[in-house]
Amino acid sequence: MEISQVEKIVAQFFIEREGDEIMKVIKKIDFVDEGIIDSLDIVSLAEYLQIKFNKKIDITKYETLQAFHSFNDIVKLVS
Amino acid sequence: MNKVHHIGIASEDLNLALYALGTDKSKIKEVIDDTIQHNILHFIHQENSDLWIEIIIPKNDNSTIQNFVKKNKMGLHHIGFLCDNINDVEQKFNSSVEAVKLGKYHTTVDSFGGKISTIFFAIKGMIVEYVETGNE
Repeated sequence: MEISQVEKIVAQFFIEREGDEIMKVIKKIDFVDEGIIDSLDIVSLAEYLQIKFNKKIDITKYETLQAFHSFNDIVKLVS
Repeated sequence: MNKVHHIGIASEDLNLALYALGTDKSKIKEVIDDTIQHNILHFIHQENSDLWIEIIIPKNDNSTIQNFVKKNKMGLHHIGFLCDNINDVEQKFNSSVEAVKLGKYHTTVDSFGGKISTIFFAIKGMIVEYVETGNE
């Protein structure tokens, strides 16, 4: 599977938590519904993305929280 | 550094928190049903240090501390600092990628002097709150 540099960086957050196996399903699953991230993890993910991409992530916005459900939407958020 | 105004203790059980703090229900000055964050807040004033202790108990699964108490049962949740201007604090932390804004609220806490503005940030796993009082 070809993935971009941005995707690699986003994926690294989930690989560190879930292991390499997550890559088989990372583009298909809903991180929140699957219980992979909860509200505490959302804060950690936002911090991770802010530092890696030097971009503020506003998790008080509904749209941001919705984006955190899906890998592709997270990638769009930071691209 | 701004003055520490209060510390927030999150707990799944009020009696457990009171026991840990070495106090009892008679010392609770005010109880607030926080319908925004889905918590019940209990305020105790420690006279000898002029410090408020806020015991936060989740009301339901929508509580902002629900996952915290699921993982920890009870613990120090945040430190609250007084500030003169909450917008200045927000601007300062918004300029850093180390800080994640968790929320900004306007509410009324009589123990804190009435209407207050409050903002929460997470910085490397530590939650800080800034409180601007005197907004009557």
